[in-house]
Amino acid sequence: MSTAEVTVYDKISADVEAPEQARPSVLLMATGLVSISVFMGFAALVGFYLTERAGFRAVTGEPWLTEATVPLTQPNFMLLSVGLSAITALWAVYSVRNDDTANALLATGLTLLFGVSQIAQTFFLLSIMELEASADERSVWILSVIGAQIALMILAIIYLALTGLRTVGGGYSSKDYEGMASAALFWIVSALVYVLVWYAIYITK
Amino acid sequence: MTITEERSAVQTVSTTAEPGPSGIESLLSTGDHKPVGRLWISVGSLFLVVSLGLALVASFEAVDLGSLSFLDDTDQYVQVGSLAQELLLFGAIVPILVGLGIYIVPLQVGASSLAFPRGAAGAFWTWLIGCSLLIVSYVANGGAGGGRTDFVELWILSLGIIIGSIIWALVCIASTVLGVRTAGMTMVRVPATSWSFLVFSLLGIMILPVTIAELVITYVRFSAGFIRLGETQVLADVIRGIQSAPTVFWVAIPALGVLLDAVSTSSGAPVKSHRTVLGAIGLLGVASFGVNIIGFATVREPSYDNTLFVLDTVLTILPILVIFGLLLMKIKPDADTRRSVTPFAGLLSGLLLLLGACAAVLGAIEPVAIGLKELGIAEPASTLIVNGTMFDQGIRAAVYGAVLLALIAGLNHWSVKIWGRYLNQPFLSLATLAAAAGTFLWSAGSIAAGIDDQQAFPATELTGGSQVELFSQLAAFGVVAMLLAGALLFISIVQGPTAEAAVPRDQLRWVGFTLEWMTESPPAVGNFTVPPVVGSATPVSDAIAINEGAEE
Repeated sequence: MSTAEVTVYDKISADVEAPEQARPSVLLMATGLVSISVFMGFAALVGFYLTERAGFRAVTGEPWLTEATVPLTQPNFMLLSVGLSAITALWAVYSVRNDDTANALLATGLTLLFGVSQIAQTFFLLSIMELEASADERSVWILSVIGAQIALMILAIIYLALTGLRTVGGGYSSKDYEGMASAALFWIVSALVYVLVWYAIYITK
Repeated sequence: MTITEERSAVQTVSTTAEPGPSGIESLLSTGDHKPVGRLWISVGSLFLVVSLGLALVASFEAVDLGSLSFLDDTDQYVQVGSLAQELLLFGAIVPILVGLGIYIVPLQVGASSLAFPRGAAGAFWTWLIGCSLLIVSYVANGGAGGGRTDFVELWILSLGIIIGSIIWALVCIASTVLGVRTAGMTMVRVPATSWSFLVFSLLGIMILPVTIAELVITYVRFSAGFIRLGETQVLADVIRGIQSAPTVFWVAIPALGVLLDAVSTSSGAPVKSHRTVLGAIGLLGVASFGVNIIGFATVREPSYDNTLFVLDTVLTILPILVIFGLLLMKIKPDADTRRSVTPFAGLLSGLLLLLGACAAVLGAIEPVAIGLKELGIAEPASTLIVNGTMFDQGIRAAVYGAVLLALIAGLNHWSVKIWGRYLNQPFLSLATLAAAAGTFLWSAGSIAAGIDDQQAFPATELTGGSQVELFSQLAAFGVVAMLLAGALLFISIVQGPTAEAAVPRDQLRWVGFTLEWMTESPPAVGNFTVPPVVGSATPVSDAIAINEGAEE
């Protein structure tokens, strides 16, 4: 190797001054990107649903769903659940940042409880709605959107539960709380997806 | 001199890495982004040949659909055509781009590795399983036009797996550019290739889930019996949205960055207007994504009478023109004959991309002419109706062909980094000519057939004017040339080093202006023994200039 090449290397590595970059953590960033992807997928799914619904109404002149088939009590309570779960997820992050393991576990547990309750309420609501996929296409569309949202919530529960377990094992602390922040971010996005479903399916019917 | 001693030590460290696992074990367990990138590129090239072979059969059948020559019935024709389209996009074009991004981006931004190298490896194996399932589903009479319910469902599932794994690989690339750049590498200093891969990845992360949503709905509707086996059009339309203009220009975004870096390096001087380059690439991203926002609820039926949609399509031509202009200023023969293909392939790629953009604009402004006519504002001499015809395939062929040429230019440019050898120049020269000619014939033949009213795939009748058969023949011969180009590229990649191409590692440095040229060829694990600190988008050329100034 020539001395000239070595000098060039030196100029790049040492002589050219530049400030250090303060950048978000990579795991949090990747979770953010995945969250954007998930949200786009659900936005598209709901978009297709709304298009189908508008087409049905235009052709038949009939309502897509009636108040009788979709009671609002359960959807509204589910909204309350996911809203509270978003707050408790942030509480878990705050606790980990402050090395408060007990509160972090309490907050994580509560968040998971809200998530499971949301799934239970959804199944109860579906039993009231008496949808049959093979009976009519409207049911297929509704079940597709709701089913995908439940699948997302299950993924969020698994992610947060694993993060919680790692917190118990001392994996996260005030020095490194990226994992918990990432799980909370994914949780909040799954909560936002429910808000989308709540408005598109249950409210506007 | 202290620095000399330091550098010598660095050399020793980088070339005496501990021996790791070998063979398939090393591929499965690797935490290094480079073998993963090579895997994506090699297997993607293989699928390129397979998909173009299938496209060849479908193209010759389409010349005269009244009498099938190679296939048993029209269902088989639809299956072969669909598999060719799906493999070409998700099995070849996008994966080769992903592989190049996984390999080059960490080197360009001065990172020791990809943000999630094992994630990228996992994405590769998942993608490979998905592609295998896709082929199995078609072989077992599934897919669009298939006759077995289980295997149609498997086809939908395999497409979901493929797209999901591509999204994950794109997350790895985007996270690398956003999160693990070296000190001093601000976003405006990110090299053109890495920037274009960032835009490409972010768009893929946002656009591909729309196709997954389409797959979910299709799967449930099909399983519940609301889409029947014979409804070929509905099934074949699943990936239509992402293949239609202007969204299809999404795959051309990394090609722009690759072309600029490769061609400017060949010319011996970096592009000066770096911010303009970043802006133009970003603008093409906005144009590719814009249609998804405009017609979000009507993605399956793009609203061609929507003025915003027309403007969005027109917008695609502007950044391509800017980049093409910059390329033209930089085009000149490479003094190094071992890399002489690069500027040639770059120029042809830019030209074909411009052809695709012009065709897309022509297709988009057509409804404007019809609208003006209906309003009585203008009376066009003739009404050109191209939507729903082969016209769309012509645009797609131009874009895919341009990307293939950009890949030839890029892989040739970085061959010493990726494989530690120069690629076979006679093979690549022939591949470049074949790809350019093939793309032109395929694209122009399809566009002309569309104007002559030939219905788009999966139509199973040869409709249209008197010249349709001729145009379809042109398109079919174009696919023949593309297949030849794909095969030559694949052979160039997988063949061992020739006596002429094999060059000692330490002689393959200081070719370009960006950080990857600071590393060995190919780079050792960890890429940089000392994390570099940069002060511009072209740190190597800056340092050389500083060095020359110091010597004077």
